[in-house]
Amino acid sequence: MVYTIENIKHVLNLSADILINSKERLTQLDSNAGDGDLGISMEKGASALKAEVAAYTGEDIGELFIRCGMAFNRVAPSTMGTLLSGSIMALGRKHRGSKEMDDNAAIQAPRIMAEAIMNLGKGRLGDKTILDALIPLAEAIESSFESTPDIRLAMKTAAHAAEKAANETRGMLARVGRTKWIAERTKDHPDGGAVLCSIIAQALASAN
Amino acid sequence: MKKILNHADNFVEDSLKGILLAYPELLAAHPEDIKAVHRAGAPIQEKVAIVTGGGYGHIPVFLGYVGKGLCDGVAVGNVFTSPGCETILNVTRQVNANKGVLYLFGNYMGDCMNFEMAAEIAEMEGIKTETVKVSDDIASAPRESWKERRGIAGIFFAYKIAGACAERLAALEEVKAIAEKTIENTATFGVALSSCWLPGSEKKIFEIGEDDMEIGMGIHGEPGVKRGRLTSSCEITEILLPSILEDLSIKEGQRVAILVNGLGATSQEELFILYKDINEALAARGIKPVRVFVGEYATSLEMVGASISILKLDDELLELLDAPAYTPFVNVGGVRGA
Repeated sequence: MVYTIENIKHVLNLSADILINSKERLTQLDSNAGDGDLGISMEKGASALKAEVAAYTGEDIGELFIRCGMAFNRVAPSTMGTLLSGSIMALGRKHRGSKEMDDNAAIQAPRIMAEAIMNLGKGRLGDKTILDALIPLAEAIESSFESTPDIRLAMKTAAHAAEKAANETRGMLARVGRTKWIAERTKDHPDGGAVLCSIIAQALASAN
Repeated sequence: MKKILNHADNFVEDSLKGILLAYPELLAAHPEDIKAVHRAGAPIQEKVAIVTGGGYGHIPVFLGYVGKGLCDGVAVGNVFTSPGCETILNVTRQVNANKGVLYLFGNYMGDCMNFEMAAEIAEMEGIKTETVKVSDDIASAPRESWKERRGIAGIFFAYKIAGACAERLAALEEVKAIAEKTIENTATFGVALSSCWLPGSEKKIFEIGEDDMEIGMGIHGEPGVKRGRLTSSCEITEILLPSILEDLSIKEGQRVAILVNGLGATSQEELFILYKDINEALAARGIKPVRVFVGEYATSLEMVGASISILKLDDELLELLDAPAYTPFVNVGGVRGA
């Protein structure tokens, strides 16, 4: 299927709404590991992103992503905010000048975002970060779509993989970022970024 | 902590407004982004532009190094927080003279990410950028992995030398190379005696006992290498200086530039006591301090303490260090002599 700028705007708004509605849960998770600002910074970023989506009147999907990434970054300059912004902007660079995306482009999006986050944050699989959910998600969506070219099925499979992987960050020791210094203390909690990734994946998979 | 301000939330913006109102002939900001500050008159034709940036609260770092012979623009963040990539881009577009832009900033994760994101968008817009990260704090990583160190007061030498090189209309690759050479030959080590208060916060960012000092503490309160009893200026010198000399493999007869930097609430008088001891310790080792800077070059709000930076000199670096530079906060080089 072909996705127009209106479809992309819908997906962005949906993802932003999930972040806003998950504020309490994210705050709770982050207060195990840090200063508990994850919920509030994601809410700020998501609200700015929605405002940017509403204000954008052009047709360039890449430009829309870049503007959304910048808007998110402007109000959420935390590490997670910057990484998410960077991953949205990476989608923007990839689709610069495009008026539409197809299924293949949609399937590749999680991989592009994961690579941008790895590149910016210097994190790897197993460091107890968002990547521990996003990389399994990217792999699941690619392999599902390859064996059965059904995007809805692929998204459901990917959401399931992300949820499982996010749960499995419980018990892992953090190896990068602020949490690294208190790795032992946060060992029994799942990673906030990984849970965030899983929450968005599930919401998108169950939406129309 | 007593602070002069209106609302803590407006700390950065109000302070920036004051600076721009005080020096309208030297500095200007992007019309829609006050945190994107540049040399009045930018872009300067034929010149590689140098853009820096970082969190607020370290004046004269970073904003104070925007001016003739130093940087062309700065992206200012919130207190101790990286600027966003949009602000970095706003500055980049403003100072770009199509000779390339050098991003020169301290090695901190937030800054690294935002400058990298900005560089990618700048490239898309046809602006060529190169990046050099300052990493001079020997407390944060050993010499063999010096590129992983945090950037602190030694950034002054990188600004000064890369800025002088760019002012002579050198190519982007040359400016980048001299900045890298400077940083490789710079090392900094410091002590903090007490930490600082973020505006609006009831607590200091870090507690250090009345009689203690933290050796190698970072400029945002990152833990240092060890905590010890506060001792004399002589003994502080003997803790800091040998480590720096060893780090740079400085031998007898070597010419060096010395920077004794106050962290914000240590008096100039004290800094000169420290310099006296440094000078004597260098003399005892046959090392020649041919250029000396004593004062506040990189602060952490009202942190108490000081750092020593050394730049190992050769003729090329010394000549660029001596070139004139002028900003509202820093005035170095130019005509020497009584």
